[in-house]
Amino acid sequence: MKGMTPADAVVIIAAAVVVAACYGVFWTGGGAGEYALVHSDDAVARFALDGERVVAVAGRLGPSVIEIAPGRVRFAASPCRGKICLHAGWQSTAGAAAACLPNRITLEVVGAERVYDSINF
Amino acid sequence: MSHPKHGSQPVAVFPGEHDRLIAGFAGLAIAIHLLEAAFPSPLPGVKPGLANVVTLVVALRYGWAAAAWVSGLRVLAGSLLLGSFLSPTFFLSACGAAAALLALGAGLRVPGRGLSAVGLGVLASLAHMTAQIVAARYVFVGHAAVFALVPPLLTAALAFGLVSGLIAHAVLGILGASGRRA
Repeated sequence: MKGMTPADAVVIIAAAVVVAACYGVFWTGGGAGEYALVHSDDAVARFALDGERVVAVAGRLGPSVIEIAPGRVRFAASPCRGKICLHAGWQSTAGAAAACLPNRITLEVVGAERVYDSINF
Repeated sequence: MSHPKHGSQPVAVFPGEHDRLIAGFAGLAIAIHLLEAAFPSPLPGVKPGLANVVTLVVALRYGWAAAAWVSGLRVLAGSLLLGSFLSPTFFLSACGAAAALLALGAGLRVPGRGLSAVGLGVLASLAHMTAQIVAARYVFVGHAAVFALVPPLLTAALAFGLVSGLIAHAVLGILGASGRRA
């Protein structure tokens, strides 16, 4: 385009490269999860994701049933109304999380490397 | 701006031609800022930032200091008119504007044929967005999840920086050759 300079091209190309690199740096998903952290109102429980198991965690409304399988974890049942936690489904990558806000329970997959300190929505 | 040479003597201050120029451009930038605030954004934190077209045009025609005045007045008066003065929004806006001005200052010093409005627009836009994300992370949010928003926000900043730059470039073409560069 008329009036543009070589330096403009350098800036634009460099900017595009930096922005593209950001996807690699900030959006590479977590690796495999090693264990799940389940936070309730007053406690934090840690479950290794190495076998099949079902646990009930006490929340404000009642027990939430959390299903653990090799490498993944999910809410299997919860006494809340919306069931958003159930619809979140299986969480398997490090950093992934699901939450049952009415019951004040969150679960989070933790891998070898922590991707996020915490996540909120 | 007119300043008294010695602080002790009372000096009548009249707006000069340059002051009127800055006020005019700031008014234009504020109007664009307000209009843009009236449109809903598809993604929180993303807006075209067309007021920066004015900053770019002023920077290339009248220099960095004039652009800093226009940008600063726009952030201040814009926030007063939108009711966000001294709110987090205002703070983020000010951080973004300050970073964009720094980038603009650096961009204007590029030797040789230098940068046109397009390159300057991209530089300023990315600096603006980066400063806002960093400020949001360390001042308001307090955890690193904010950085998950970096890729889409910077992509938007790049796109809108290019667009504002191209618009400013076209405007400069219509206004005639800038006073600073051939």
